[in-house]
Amino acid sequence: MPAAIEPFPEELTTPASAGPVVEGSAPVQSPGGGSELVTAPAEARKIYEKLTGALSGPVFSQVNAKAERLMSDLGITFDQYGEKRSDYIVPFDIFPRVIEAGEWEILMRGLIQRVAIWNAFFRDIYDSQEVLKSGIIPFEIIYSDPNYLRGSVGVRVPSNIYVHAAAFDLARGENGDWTVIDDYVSRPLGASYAVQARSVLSQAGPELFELAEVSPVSGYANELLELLRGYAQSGSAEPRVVALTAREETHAYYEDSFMARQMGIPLVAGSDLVVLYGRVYYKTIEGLEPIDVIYRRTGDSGIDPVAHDNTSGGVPGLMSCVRKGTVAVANAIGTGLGDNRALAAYLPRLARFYLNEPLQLPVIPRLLCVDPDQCQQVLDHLRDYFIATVATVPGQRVWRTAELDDEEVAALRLQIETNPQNFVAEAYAPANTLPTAAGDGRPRHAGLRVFTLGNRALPEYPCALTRVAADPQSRIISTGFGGGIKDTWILRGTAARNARVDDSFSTRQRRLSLGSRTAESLYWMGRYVERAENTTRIVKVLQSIQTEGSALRDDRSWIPLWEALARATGHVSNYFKRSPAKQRNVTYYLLLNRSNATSVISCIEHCRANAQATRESVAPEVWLALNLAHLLLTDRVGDQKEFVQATSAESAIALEDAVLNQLDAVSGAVQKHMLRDNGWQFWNLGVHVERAVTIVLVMRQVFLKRQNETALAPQIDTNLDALLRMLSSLYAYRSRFQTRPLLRNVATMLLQDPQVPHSLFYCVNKIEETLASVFRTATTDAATTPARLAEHLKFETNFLELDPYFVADAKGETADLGRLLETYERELTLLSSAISDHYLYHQAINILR
Amino acid sequence: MVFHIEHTTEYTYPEAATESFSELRLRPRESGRQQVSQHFTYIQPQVPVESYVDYFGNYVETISIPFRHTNLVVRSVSDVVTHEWTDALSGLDLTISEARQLHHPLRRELFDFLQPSHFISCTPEVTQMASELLPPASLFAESIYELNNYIFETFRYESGVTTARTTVAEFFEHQRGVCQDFAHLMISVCRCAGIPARYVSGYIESDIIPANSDGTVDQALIGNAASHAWVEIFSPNGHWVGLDPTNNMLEGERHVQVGIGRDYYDVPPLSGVFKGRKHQTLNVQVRVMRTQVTPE
Repeated sequence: MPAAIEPFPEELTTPASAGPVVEGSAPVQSPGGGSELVTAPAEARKIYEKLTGALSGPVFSQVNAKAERLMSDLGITFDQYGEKRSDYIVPFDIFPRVIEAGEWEILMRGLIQRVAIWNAFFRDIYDSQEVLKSGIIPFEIIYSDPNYLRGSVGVRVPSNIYVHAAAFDLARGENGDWTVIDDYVSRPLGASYAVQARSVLSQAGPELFELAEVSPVSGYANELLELLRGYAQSGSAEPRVVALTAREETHAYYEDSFMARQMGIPLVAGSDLVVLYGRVYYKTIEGLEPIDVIYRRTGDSGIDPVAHDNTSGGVPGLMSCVRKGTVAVANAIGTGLGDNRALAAYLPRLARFYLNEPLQLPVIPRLLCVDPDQCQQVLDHLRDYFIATVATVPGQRVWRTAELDDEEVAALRLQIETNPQNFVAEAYAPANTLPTAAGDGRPRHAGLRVFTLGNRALPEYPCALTRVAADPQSRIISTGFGGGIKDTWILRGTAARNARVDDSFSTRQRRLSLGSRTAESLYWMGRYVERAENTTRIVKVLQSIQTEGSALRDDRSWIPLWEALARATGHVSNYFKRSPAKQRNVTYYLLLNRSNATSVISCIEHCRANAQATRESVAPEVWLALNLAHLLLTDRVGDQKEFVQATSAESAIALEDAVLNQLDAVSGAVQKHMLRDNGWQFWNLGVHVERAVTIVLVMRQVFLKRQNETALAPQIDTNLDALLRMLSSLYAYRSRFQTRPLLRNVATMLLQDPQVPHSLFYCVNKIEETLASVFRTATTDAATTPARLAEHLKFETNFLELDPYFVADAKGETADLGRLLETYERELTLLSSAISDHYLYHQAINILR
Repeated sequence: MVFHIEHTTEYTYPEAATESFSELRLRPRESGRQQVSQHFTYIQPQVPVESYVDYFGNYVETISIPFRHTNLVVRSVSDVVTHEWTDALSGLDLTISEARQLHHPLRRELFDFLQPSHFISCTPEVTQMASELLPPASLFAESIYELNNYIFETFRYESGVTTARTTVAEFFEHQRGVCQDFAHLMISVCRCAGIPARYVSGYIESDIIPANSDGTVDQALIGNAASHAWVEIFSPNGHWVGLDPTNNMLEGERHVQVGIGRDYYDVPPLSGVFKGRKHQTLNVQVRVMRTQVTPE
């Protein structure tokens, strides 16, 4: 019985489906076919023997245990079909696969020929379509495929190269012949697993590598980057490359972020790029960086929402730049058409048509049900085929008919009869097993995925991934069905041995500035955490003073405090009127109500969403602390009525204390674990902007109209005391002044004291320092405008003369402090929108050269 | 006839929009039956306009507005000369089935116009209309005229009932709609019967109409105040022939073609994206003015 080889699910291009749905129960037949221990060429067999010897006894379990730990430490995961969790660690088999140099060369030459065919095909299809005019391929297959992009017809791509990085699934027959099962010519996936497999095995069992001369794979990403840079059209000495990912596709995210990190290029989403005057730019905090090459990891339909409607992602206008040739996209837009399973059946004819050569590597026999004769053949022998929908039909499925019961076969038959054009049938792949190091030591079915770069038949870093079935009986070679991976040893031949292996990182690209989206996320995370903290603290203070036995007091005296709370939480000042009875309602509203956009839970949830969108920039400790804070709140959300009834003032305060502690933990984790990079600076920027705004708003309500009251009414005392507590500065005040809170002292301290973290001067000074340190080298106005605003504010507060506000002049009048605070509020708003406009939204367009 | 056409589209956003990118399909086509002597596109706020020709031969302009703006005005001004073509389907003494045979050699080029597309589908109602009005043995030209007339008589022109995204099935339900719906239905029926058909967007003279040289005044046509849409079918004489089911007539001198596609999806006058809150208000004004009578 032959084995069925499953593609990685990401290769399927139907946007909505996560992967093929497989019908059929677990197969029961025992594997047939030859083991490579027997069928491999002599040199490889010799190494297999040595490996068998080396991987026995205690060495085996040592290496195995080490490998297992490494896989889990490195977090090498792959989503499993039908399961929600995405932390499934891929099983790793320490027994490597060996491919002899000569065999590899033949294989690569055959694959490079296929790359050449695909390139010629795309060049033709997106131009004069000779292949359709001459009837080599039925035009219906192309024209009815949604991945045939009419917008790409007539668009020239650099050097007429469409396929840059490709992957091919191969199976080795009993006689040692290779057959190609699938061609992935738009978004090849899996190279990161190959690179990681080597890194795991070389750490777990370094001594194994003394047994053979194995080609290195570590430089694959750099070789890819070098290739990508070669497609830049700008002629720039330092072409700028970014990797474009579709974030919602979590499957590919691991691979995308790994490869981008390896290449040292930014991993961007569509909204990180913007099209302006016929060029694509990457939005960074320093300005717009022109981009020369986009290594795209999104499907064709997710590339440009204007050119190909029906998507929300992508870069609006990207196609217009491709058309102008100002940016190169790899692989070219339109190559998604290659995922059509029916096309591969025509490869032998295409080889003749375009290259006038026979196809070197055989393609697995495919029958197209759109052809009535072939369809009949399939229907007559349904159980002998592996049935698949042509890749571009929504709801991609594959069927291993041998494993289906009669009812399922009948249902499938009906589907094929109704819509034959949607189906192709494949002969089962040749059987071939590899020795494994799994517990039972029994051989398993295996498939090989080979990665090619451009037309390099002998890449410096040959890259291939071996996948094995989950158990000895299984013929399903799929990482999504519990299948494992192995390191693949491509032996170095004489040609490769003589070739120069360049391990230098000369191709690593100049680091681009911090992306605006990441900066924005961190900035807002800083603001949200600070806002959550301020809100919680102010509510707590209000509740505390009311429970602290000041019941005798007139409610009205608290009005300024309630007003301060309202303003600090983004409401009009009289929002809370005075309603101590509704206090716990207020607690619920401000802490737990999700429909209140400024509630603490909303802030934390926004913050989490931002953290999730910039996973790579947030330390895991911060994420953990943030999650605990979230949990603390979600535990109490429940029902508002219930909360109000069941929660006493004391327990509300206890909750607030717990939240404050946990938010301290978040801030602590940030200061302790985050890299001191520009991302961290933007977090701090957010914290201090938010805090400065809160100080001004809260102070203003309390000081409004009250500074004239020369006779110190007792409630002012209490209010000032509360104000200091609201701004977490009571301790600071007591250290500074040995008096009870006095209007002027409080104002001086909260506005000007450079050592009090909750003073306005402290905050604007921090903002100014941060901007100066991030944009120290910036020379453009656009980069420095916010810094100048901050500087201005800093000097204003520093040299502020408070006397006129508290000492009456000759006419017996004092200056209006409320007015002054209003001015500061305005200036802070201005500063905050300047920061957004200049670094995050690029309203002050600043194009970097 | 010579027309001066002004097509103004104004978007007003509830909050400032940024990073807007749009494609405009507003320039009238060049063909044997019409020539564009002038075309300008004015954009407010001012930004550069770039252009390309799309898959269906339409002239497309693109604009990118990266900065904040609360409204966007696109004003397209064209001067177009059109020519009469009265007997486009005359002399075609053959049946529908014969017509289908005749376009067989061109089936690759015509494929797109025979297949279902975004707004075109062979619903049961469409299939029934196709079998009743376009049976294989009936005469090609007569049946096409009959179909045009049937749609005109059966469905009522009424704006506000349907939207730009209304499907043929929904149009059947309402029995009322605008030129776009009339065109989509007619295309669906033709394709269902194996006759290649495509969508035409453009303008129709419907404003104040000057007197002809003989003193008569042409009747005002339906489709005013906005762009018009009609149908072209591929005729066995090798021509694409325009039919306007909204007005029950052949495309004439008073029609000005702008875009051609499989259906509306391929030729929206404006399409694009922006960042900002949704629910922008849209105000469209089209004026088609005859500036002189074509000399005899």
